[in-house]
Amino acid sequence: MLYNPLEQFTVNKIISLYTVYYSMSLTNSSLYFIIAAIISFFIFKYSANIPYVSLINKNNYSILTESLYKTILKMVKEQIGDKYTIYMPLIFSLFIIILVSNLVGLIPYGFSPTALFALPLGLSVTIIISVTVIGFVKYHLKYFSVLLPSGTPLGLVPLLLVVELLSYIARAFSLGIRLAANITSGHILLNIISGFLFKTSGIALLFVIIPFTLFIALTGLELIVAILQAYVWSILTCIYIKDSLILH
Amino acid sequence: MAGGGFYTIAGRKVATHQLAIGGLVGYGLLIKALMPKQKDLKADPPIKASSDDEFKFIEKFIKEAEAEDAKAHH
Repeated sequence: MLYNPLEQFTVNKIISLYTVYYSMSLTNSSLYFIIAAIISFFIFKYSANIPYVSLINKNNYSILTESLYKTILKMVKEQIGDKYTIYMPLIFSLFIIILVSNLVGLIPYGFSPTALFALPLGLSVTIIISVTVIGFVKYHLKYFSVLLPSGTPLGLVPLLLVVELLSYIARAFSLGIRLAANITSGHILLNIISGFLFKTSGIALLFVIIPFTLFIALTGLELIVAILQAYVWSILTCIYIKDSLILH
Repeated sequence: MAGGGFYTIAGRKVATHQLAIGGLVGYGLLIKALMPKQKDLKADPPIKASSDDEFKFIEKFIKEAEAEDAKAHH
């Protein structure tokens, strides 16, 4: 763990379970994702089900969840429009589960499921396929006009068609890779700094204070990255949904 | 709202999505035309011959041997 910063991302089987075609084993990644889901569920359950919570007298949990809800609702309304708040539960669920998954990895000995490429990529590819289906259901063959922005000169059509098609496909991957790469790089950096801190702790006090301060600052930065990446994911999902609902 | 742009090509109105579909089909056909045609791949080992005559001789010999073999089996 101390020498290889990538060792922290090793997926270990906790409970082995094999079917004829698939391995359905419980791994540390899936366990922490389940933990993240349970935490997300109980935060909202606790904030909503406290008897003394009223509209006027709120507790900290309800203020937190309500603030998060209002922030995401505002974003959805701004991006997709008032007409399509039907997508709010999807965006909000994605935001919360990604946020908690990111934060779970920041706890010492924790594991962030979003640091592995499989989960974010799986989610992002699913989202892009879903928004494409939404577009085709709503506009049928007219949805192909998503590949040609309005006002494109006729001469540029062959070139732009290829560029837009590639960028459309690339969105499926960039969404997932962005999240996984940000979380992975942060964890690697923290691991390297903590390893350096451990090695220099016996030399002199000065060699401890500087890396330790840096370590604290980086942990704070990672906290911001965890929140920011969940927000970026949500806002990009909103944009992709908007693109399939409102053709340019 | 519904992506209702039009292009005028040779005096005819073409909808944006029709142009996009046409473009994609065109690219597909172009790629298909440019792809090298797959030859009938044989599982036989290659014939190593130093000249064309030798190659033809070996090829003829193999054909005859295969024909004889086929006759013997039937």
